[in-house]
Amino acid sequence: MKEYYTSHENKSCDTNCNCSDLPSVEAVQETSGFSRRSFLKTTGFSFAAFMVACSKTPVQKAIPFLIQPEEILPGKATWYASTSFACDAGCGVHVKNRDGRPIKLEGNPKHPMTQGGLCAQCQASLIELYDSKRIIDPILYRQSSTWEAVDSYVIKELRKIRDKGKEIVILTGTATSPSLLYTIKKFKKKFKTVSHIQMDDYSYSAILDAHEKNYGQRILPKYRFDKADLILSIDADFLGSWVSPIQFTKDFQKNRKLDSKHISKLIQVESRMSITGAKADERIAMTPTEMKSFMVDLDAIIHGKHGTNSHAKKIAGLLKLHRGNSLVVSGINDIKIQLIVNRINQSLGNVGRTLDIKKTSQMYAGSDSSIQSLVTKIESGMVGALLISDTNPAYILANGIDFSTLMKQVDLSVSFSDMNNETTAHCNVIAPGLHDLESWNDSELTSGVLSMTQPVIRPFGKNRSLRQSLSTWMGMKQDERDLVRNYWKKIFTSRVKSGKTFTRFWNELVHDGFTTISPNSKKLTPFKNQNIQIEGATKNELELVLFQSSQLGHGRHAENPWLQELPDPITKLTWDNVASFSPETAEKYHLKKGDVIEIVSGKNKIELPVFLQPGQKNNTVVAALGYGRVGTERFHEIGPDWLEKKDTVKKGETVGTSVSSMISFDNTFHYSGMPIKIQKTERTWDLALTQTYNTLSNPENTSPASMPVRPFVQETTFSEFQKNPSAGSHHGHPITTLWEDDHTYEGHHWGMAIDLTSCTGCSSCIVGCQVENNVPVVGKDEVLRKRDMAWLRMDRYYSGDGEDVDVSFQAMMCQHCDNAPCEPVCPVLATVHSSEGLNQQVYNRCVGTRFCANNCPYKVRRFNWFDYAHEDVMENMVLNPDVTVRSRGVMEKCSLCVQRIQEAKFEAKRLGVPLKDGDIKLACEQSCPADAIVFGDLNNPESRISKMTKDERHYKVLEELNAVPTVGYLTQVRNRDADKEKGGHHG
Amino acid sequence: MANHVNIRPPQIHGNKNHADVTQDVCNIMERKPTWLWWLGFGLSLSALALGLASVSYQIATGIGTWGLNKTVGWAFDITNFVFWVGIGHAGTLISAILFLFRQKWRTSINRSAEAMTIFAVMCAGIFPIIHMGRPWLAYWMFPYPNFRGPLWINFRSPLAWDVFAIGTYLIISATFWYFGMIPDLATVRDRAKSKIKKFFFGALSLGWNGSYRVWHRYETVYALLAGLAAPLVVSVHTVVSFDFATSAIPGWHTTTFPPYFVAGAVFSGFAMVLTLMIIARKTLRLEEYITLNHIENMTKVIIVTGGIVTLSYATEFFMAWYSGNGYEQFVFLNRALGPFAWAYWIMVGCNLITPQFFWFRSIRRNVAAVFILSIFVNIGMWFERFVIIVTSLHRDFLPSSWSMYKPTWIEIGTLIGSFGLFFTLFLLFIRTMPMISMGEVKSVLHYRGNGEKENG
Repeated sequence: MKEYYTSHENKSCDTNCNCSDLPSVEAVQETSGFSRRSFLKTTGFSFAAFMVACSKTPVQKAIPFLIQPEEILPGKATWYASTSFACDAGCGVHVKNRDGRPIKLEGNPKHPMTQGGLCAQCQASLIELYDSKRIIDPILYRQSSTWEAVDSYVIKELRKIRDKGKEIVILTGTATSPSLLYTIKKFKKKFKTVSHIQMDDYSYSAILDAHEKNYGQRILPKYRFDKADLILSIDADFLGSWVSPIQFTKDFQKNRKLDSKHISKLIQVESRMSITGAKADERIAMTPTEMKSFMVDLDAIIHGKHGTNSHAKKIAGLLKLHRGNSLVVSGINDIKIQLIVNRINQSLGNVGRTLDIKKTSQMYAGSDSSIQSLVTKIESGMVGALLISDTNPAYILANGIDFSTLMKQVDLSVSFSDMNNETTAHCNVIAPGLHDLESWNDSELTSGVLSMTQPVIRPFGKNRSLRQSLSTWMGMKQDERDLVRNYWKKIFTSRVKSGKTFTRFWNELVHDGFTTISPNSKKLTPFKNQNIQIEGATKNELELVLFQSSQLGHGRHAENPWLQELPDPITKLTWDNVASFSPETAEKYHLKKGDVIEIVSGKNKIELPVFLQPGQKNNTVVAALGYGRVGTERFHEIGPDWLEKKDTVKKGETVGTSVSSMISFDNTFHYSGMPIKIQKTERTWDLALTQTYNTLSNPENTSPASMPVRPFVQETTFSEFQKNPSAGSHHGHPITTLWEDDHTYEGHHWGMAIDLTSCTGCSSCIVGCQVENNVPVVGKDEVLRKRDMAWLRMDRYYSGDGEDVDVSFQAMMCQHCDNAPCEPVCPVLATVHSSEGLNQQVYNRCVGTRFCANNCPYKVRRFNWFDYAHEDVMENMVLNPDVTVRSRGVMEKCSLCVQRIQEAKFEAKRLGVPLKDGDIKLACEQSCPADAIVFGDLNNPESRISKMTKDERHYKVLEELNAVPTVGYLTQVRNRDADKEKGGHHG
Repeated sequence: MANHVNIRPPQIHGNKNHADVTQDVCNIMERKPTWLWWLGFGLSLSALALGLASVSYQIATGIGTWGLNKTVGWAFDITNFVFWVGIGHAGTLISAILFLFRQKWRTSINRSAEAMTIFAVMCAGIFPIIHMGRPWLAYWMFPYPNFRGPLWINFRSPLAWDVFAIGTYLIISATFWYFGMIPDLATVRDRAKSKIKKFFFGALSLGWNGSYRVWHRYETVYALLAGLAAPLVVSVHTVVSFDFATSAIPGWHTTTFPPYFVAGAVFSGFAMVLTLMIIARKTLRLEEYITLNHIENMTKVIIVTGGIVTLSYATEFFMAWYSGNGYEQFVFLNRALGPFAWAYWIMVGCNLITPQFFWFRSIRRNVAAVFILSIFVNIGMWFERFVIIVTSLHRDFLPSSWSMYKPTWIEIGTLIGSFGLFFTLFLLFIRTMPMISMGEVKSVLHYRGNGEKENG
């Protein structure tokens, strides 16, 4: 594939060329006088015009580009490498710019961490750039103000506080930017009484604290799921939300290649049902309390002592067999548990092999105890100023802390957030920060890997980064880029050993989006064993488990409509959070889906609707963090307006309920195991699910004997697969036909295959598809009416019963059938077959009879029931100009990103070279962190798709209908004993 | 009467002579409307207004105002369409096929039944148009020369066949109806007192002069038109059934659909004729024209077609079982026992059990009982189409997409509106046109031979 991701500084160079041969950006800037900044300013200005066009003022004059900017070719995208921090872990991205505005984020395949994968949050963060509710002016005491006024006020206050000897606290999320840390260091020097406290949305403090006790340093190891043959994960949803899920998914897949003799085995111990549990080869459901005793026993058995837990005995045996190539991880934020985890990994010789404690992960450095001591300090009046960036403590620290009274204790409170949130409401000053796409930033997420963020659009408002604000207040007003660049220029020689010149280093860094540098080595002490006392478990009636969903995280993206409407991979729930119960426990408490219950933990109470989750541990209640955020009241208006419309949220209410008040604190924040009481209320709540029938088995009373289970998901075990590669498949009889084959496909024949073994169900592809194809958000009521518009959906089926439930995922989109049932039924020829095997929908010919959708066996067609306008008109800027925005009354569906196919074909034609396999990457395919989706030309025998189609695992859904889909699936293979394979999916 | 040997009972009771017939029939449209007519008209017009409001709102806002979803793409819309097309069938059967079979009893009811056909087809025709996402482009369904290529319609699509089937049906039925009315229109013309009426009916009766030659030609053309209309009884609903039969969805994909649908159509059509005629004979005092014999004959047709419908239901279940196709079997189990089982059992109750009462002569000749049973058949046949459409769609192949369907008020309003349109047109028809075919009724009178003169 042609590599587009040159930064505009090196736009004419191909990947392999020597970039230093070109005049550097500095040179260009100095000589031409038309710098990158001024270019961005120009594009920004055209934006401002666009924004004006979006407002109600009539446009008097449309001004075309009289002088076309050098970079902008109408209809041609430019790509910039960057890094997105929408997720906590950070994803390496390529930003697609069209006509000066970013319209899509894609994974950067060369980025050493995310390796081309891209999480749902980062993809969706694009729309937050165009949010008209962003703060674009500095705010002083709730009044829009100017930077001059704010700066002089803040500087005056800071000086006063310093002179009084009170503390100035900079409270940030984990700061991975070396240049920012340097700025803070300088800030400390200037204002003396400064302290920097880091706080993560979701705390990993226990892991760091445990390492401090064991190895003398607060470090987060770099987990090597690619090196581990046996993975034991205790409540760590590492494929979905834990630490760095995209990186881990990529790594995890590397040791799951079915052509090798061995694949890794994943054992997941958890209370809730996570996508890691869904993907696990073995999943053991336990309550948080049981997990503790399990860990104690596991630790004991591995160290040759006695343990009674049967699971622990079995797993300890397995772990001992895999010394040095096993990996134990735990997502429980409890120092004692993490000390046990460390001891087990140390004893098994895994340290240095499957987890790296020298080159560590650095995306989480928050310390729970320092947060707690900060609160005490503020309460005692020692803190004079609180500068809060990249975190929302008023929302997160809801348990027992009254943030509004706390904030009254400080003289100066500054927030750097560009969105109003729970914290900004209590701040005297808001110095709005930048979106990732507007800012320069450097970050060292893993030691030794430097990721770069570059602006791809001029800031919409007067926003300024934290780095720049702090510098200004120190009296060193500087261009943001210079702040980052000068820092690296200064320390260049100490961190970069390659012998490159700085200019070349910088250019390559901006061009590639990342570079490797010599890691910051922290001095570790040899393993110090700790005495761990875990008190005997008290039996709780009901235990609460809180988790961060892979959509909203810890609430950071609550105002993102794409993520609010992205169905949870497991529950398929949109627009709400719930209290999940296992069906058995729900029955015990006489609860039905949608009953609203009150959950009482200590003095705190919350109300949540009940949801029944198969596979969840009995006697646990599971709820997602990140909901109930202030600001989500805006979604009151979302969705089409008509007579019977119900609001997504009632006026003044938030989407979901915040469960932050349920987080308990004991050295660290505890997200699970809180004993709770529940009380049923009289109320019920509608839950908007995109899938309401959950298994492949027919309902009992209507199940025919010939087909108790529908064979859409084929499954087998690794041992069976090794004996017979086509194990688990039910290939039907070959279908003969008297008709002549009227589809000859002489040129290309596009096809797609989805490997169910790789797919984790993470649903990142759904957002990728939504952004690429301008798929609208419809609101809760429409989802309730089963009219969500997603072209690509993630079907999720349960099998098994009780707590022992298997989950299968199946990404489902238009299957592009050769004998497509939708095509002959359309009276106006609005859906037709292309000569390259695509089933095409012609929007402007469609009259909307919906016959095609009825006749589609896969039910992948979506009808425009209404005109779906963006809730926020400015968000129209996010639309992909290559894809038609569909009007009311027409049918739509997956086009296999036909715009991408055409673009690649034209490009190949222009260059006079044949199209290579992999030149075309579809939106879903590029975002897939598991590389489960493969698209290509079936007529090219060397293409990956051709090889996959010939794979013995390859099958097609509903093959017997002879619709001849070109989208195929590869049997799911789990690494488990054959006898444990549940018969669930075999019919 | 006494000097005649009656092999068959008289078709028309009350010793009517030709003048009586003319007087009785024309009087309906010449006298002032009764309060009952006004009441009916008011109600129908209100229903029509409700329907108009619903449809206008739906077209202005979107199909989203209906309860459809990504899985159930058709429900009330196509149910109503098939229901109304089916209603129409009785009219054509009575006027064309019974004419060809020389069933003289048809003369009392054929005019109204044909009118009913036309109004029902008009009601039916609305639905394929308003069910479109972009009804303002409905003309794209017609093959006409255009500057888009030219871009033709998809002749493989059953919806395109529908356009022709329904179009043909409406044209032929209307022609046949109008042509059959010409002698009676001339009668009305001759009796008309106002100038406007004279002109209006004069134009409509095309200069009819009642001569032997005119009558002869009229009879010839009428027979030809009957021959032309007769196949439509079979073809229209066959084509409508193709909308389902040619699809890939279990529960739709069935070769028995054409005869099943035709029988169902005649079944529902006769039920509707009965419903209307029983009201009409009572309120318009036409008991001597529409006699118990007429009612009894029609109930017999209902027994036969009801039997075919019953057989079809059984065949579907048998074929599902016999095919060994799990999806097919599931659909039928789901119909009988699934979430829409209530609709299925309403259908079975109304369509299978109701006709069985007609085995009893006492019930066949009990007007009140027949009226109630005919309503049940109407309800049952509406539900039959609902069951076929909705239960097949809502749980098809992939369980992930299974969903339920619930109509919105807009859809219910539209259904009520279609009844409003039907009854409004019918009530206007009985006030403006001779609702009984005078010319034909006169031909089946028992000739009294006392040389009384006719007025017509």
